[in-house]
Amino acid sequence: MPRPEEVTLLLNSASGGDPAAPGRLLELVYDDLRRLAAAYLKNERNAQTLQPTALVHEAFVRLVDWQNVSWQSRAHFFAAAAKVMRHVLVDHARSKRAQKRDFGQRIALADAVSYPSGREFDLLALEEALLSLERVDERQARVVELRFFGGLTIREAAHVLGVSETTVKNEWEFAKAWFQRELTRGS
Amino acid sequence: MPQQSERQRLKDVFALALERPKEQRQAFLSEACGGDAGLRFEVESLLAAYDEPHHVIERADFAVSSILGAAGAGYEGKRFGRYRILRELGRGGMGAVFLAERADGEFEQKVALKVVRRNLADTGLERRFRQERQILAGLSHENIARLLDGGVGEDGEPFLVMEYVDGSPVDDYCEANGLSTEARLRLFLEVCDGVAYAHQHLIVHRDLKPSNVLVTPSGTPKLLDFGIAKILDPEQLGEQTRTEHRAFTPEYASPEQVAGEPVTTAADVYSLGVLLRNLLQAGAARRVRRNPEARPLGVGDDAQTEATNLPTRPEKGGAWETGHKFFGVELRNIVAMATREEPGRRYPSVEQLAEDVRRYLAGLPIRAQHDSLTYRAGKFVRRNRSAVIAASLVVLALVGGIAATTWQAGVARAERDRARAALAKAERVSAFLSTALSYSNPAAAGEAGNNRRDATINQMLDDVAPRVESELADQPEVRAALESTIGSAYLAQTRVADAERYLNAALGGQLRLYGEEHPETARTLAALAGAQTLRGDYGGAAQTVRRAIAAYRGLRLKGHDGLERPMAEALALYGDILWSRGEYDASYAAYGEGLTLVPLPQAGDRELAATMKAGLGQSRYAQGNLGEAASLLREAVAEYRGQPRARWRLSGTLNFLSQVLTHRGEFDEALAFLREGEAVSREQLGENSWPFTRSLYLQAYALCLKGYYADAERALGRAEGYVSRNFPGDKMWEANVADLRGMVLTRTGRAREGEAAARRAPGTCGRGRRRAS
Repeated sequence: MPRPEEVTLLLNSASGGDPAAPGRLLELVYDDLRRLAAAYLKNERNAQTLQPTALVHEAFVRLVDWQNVSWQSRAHFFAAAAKVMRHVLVDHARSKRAQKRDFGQRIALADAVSYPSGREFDLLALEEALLSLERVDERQARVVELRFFGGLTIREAAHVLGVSETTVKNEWEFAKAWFQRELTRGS
Repeated sequence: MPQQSERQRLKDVFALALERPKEQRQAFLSEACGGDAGLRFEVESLLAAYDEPHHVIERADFAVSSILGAAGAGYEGKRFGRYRILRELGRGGMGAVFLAERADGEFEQKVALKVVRRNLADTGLERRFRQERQILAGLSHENIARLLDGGVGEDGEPFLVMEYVDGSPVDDYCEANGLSTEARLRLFLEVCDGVAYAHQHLIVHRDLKPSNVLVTPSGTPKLLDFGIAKILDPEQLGEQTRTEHRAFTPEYASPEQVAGEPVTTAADVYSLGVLLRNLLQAGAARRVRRNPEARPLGVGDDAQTEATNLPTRPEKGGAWETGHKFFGVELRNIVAMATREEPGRRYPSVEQLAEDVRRYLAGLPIRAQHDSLTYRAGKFVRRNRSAVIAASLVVLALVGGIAATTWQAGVARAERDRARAALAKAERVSAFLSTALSYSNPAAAGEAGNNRRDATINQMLDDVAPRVESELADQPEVRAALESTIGSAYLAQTRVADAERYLNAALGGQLRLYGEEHPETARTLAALAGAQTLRGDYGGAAQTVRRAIAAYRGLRLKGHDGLERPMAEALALYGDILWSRGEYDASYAAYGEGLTLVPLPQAGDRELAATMKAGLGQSRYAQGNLGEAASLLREAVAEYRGQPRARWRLSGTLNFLSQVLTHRGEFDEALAFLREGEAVSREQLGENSWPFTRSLYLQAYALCLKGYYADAERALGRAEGYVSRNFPGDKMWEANVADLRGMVLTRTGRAREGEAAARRAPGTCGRGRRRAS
């Protein structure tokens, strides 16, 4: 577990524009976040009502001396954490699907992560769509990753990506429509 | 790269199309796409997907900073619709509130902008929001913070714009300004005004609590967040088991809200009741805080406890809470009625609640009657019984006197015989009464004897009373005297309606004959005050007894002798009434003055003196002075012990003394007194009497505080047996028993059971309230 000061320092320098900081930050927190996520997911009930960003927040609280961190720095942390979160969730969904296959069950709603509303959500389908989006439009995919997995606001995402808020907004709206079309096609 | 620019074009057209109103889209697309059918197809299919009601990907829980609790970083300067954020004001379960201003510089006024925390699956929020805004915007009232505007921010965050109220929460305001009870009540009435107005517009607040009632520096309370809870309560989301979805505060939430059942205006009545209790209590608790000896206890007065005087429990790791909830019985009744478990049993409307508070302030009888007739009879009638003996003998003397006069006048033999017969009869009745009534102790002849005697007295009264009006029409003085005596006799039998009828008749006559300043009139006034007390009209009783006291004072100043005892008794009654109304300083003064009047050293006077001391002790207790209370009560107990005739009074006083000692942590002594009290009341009043059951209950209580939980449970079980047998359906007892059981269970590690038990206690105003989990 990295010392909170280390993380804070990195966050601040990332916010200050140090290009290497985000990468180092990610390395630093990656293992811990994975561990936290895994522990969180072990609890069956949590796995049922998963909210990725809640987990990130939890991690944030534990790892960072966040009282002294600016919102810009937090945005960077969440950006880094969003990646981790995505990996963790996708891995988890994949392993669940593998389990179901082993037991010979139908995969119809396999690896579904359900949200509090009870709506089923096919995370692996989203991941596939996101991967193909990354190949075609990296920035838009990043926006999706930041907002969906990281829970960043438009302003925070704009800061992290170094673009205007309008740009982020446009990317997000388009992405919503695109995913909507992709993921509900044929259903 | 052709693909890139194609894609960029697609994105641009899409973005522009979104900006257009839907009707204009087709026209726009024709223009923008030109002849590019492929592009148009793409854009249209994307727009169709975008227009679908629920998006597959939505941004998850936003407002990161509000979750983490840091200062609203990232929000300063942020635009929400026409407004710009200046700084954060506060943060709550439903979101964060910011101070904001119009970005276009249109108005100077600062506003409060509340950013609503939306959870992932709440897709209908904006729609409900729009619906409610219409209604809420129409609320225009002095005591309601106006909802000005609202919308959805660029990040999809719904927000509300409200009148900015620069004030403090109502409970803090009362404390900071050291408001008296009356001032707090008047403030509370204004709050009720606001709520009632909204109810008329069919808006239920659902989340009334001190932080939602801000008081401006000029002293005007303003209600916040009206109807907000409804907007945020997505019916779509079946069970809400997660804390952050809850849109109310547990202590102030009505039982039906906690259970997730439909909510009506009755829920607001409940919350107002809790608010009232807390506003009143804060003042009372402060009195006790000054007393370093005080340990937590909120158990009620001498013989009985009103439901809202509940024992307290340690909170937050052992730090004791000062739980002295001593405020008058009428206010307790109002609170109890507002906070009943079943919505149907509360005040039907906020107006009625406010009306009762107004009546209390005006000294008029209130609608809420939580204390029972038995309670009041036990408290007030005992004293009257001794007066009744003397009075009854007076009746007979008068009757005999009439006969004697007639006889002495030397009338014809037939009439003489009749007169002699009447006199003989009177003497026989007098003799009977002398023996039967010579004990002020009602249990002297055993219970069967009681009933027999009571039946006889009732019979007599019912026979004699109607005749007075007709037979003594031409003798107004005698008639008035007899009516007064009969009234007192009815009072002693707790036949309140009959008592008042005759006492009022007597009073009318005596005022005409003698005026107010006359011993007879004063005596009737005092008796009438007793009847009003029994009926529960404490305000009226106070006024009446004050007249009696004033009359006695005037008479004594004029040199009238022998009025010390009746005046002292009137003062004692006044002290009782004041104590019941929570006016402890005044009650202490009344008892004190009474004590100075009591002429010693006759036995009957010593009993009266002891009664005064007991009253003084109770007042001191309620004022928070436990040491003096204990010593005064000890003196009273010692006096009563030395008088066999007053033994029945001993039990009530022992109970109260034990209560004080328990409060001081002197459990062993308290228990010793209680065991004595148990024996005395069993002997004097019987096992079915209130003081007997009370002593059992108090033993359970002391044992629990002492930590002897097994013994406490046993004692409580015993008490419960008597309660269910003798006082079934009595809300006060139910509440006390349930709450104590809850405490025992909680302390012995059976917390869940404990909470369930406490929750069952009726009218506990949320003290037993726990979150449904």
